[in-house]
Amino acid sequence: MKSKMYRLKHGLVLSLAAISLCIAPGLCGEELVPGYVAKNKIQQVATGIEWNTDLKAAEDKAKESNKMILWINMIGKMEGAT
Amino acid sequence: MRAVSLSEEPAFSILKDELVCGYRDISKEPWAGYSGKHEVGGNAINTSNGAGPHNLQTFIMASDGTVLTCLPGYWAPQDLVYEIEFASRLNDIYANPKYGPAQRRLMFRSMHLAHIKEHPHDMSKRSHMQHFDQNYEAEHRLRTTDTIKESVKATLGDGSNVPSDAFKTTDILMHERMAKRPFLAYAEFDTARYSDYGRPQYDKNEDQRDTSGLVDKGARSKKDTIGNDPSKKARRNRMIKNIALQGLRTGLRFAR
Repeated sequence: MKSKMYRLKHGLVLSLAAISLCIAPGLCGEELVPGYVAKNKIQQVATGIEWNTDLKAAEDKAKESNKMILWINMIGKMEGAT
Repeated sequence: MRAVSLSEEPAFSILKDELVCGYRDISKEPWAGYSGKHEVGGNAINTSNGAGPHNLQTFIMASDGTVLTCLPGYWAPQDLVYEIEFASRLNDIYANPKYGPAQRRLMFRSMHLAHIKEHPHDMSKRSHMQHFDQNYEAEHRLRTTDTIKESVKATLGDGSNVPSDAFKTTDILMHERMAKRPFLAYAEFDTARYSDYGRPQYDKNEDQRDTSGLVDKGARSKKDTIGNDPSKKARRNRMIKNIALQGLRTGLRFAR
């Protein structure tokens, strides 16, 4: 009986530890990027890369430069809220 | 979902120097999903590959707009680069005049399916489907979904509890779906169907988290959303209905 209680108690502690590890995103393979870091990175992507918003224009440029096209469908704007 | 991860090297330099880039806002598309609204200075999260497929799709296309591959949802920058390299091999096939259309399509299919086996183990580990998406698939389309491994699906009864490892990883799902769409023009590509798995809402409450990563439930309930949020639509419809009713009442009052 005593060992059953011991196992139950320790099992509970281990489960809670596992749950709390998964709540903290960094430890579950998901990393939270703070706002000020995210802002700099977004600005770098929005201004450092030329973004076309017209696919036809992008195709013309790609044909001219013999490049492939990377086209993103996204909710929101590249330089604004998403 | 935001472009934060695209700033990582070598993804950033490849996008900047080796590709022509573009984007469009799909907020108003009927098939788009929704999420919490993130301002530029808000927190971001590096999540798993294929998360938020209704909210974000990254196409790699030939210069004439023919789709070589499409990555649904978020993808880690190193995995995006890996898939760009694969797309360039498809682009070589597409541009090679020695292959006829039928042969090209055949090669497209076999190359997409073969690429699944080429994926590094770490990439597959990063491609675990989100649990809320797995639950949605099990609950809403257990019999028809292609997200569950066929060998497991046959053994499942209605209302079965589907184990997490019964689901395909998103890197497999992506190539299996692409293999059925050989060299389609962007305009012909059925993005809605292609990117449809899991629930329409993707949200990790990034801006409602404290420094330890815990979500503030009070803030979460008050936040604004972006995209096709059904509760927002219902609120708007209720408001329109109320205004119309009020107008009708006022008109009737005047008529008397």
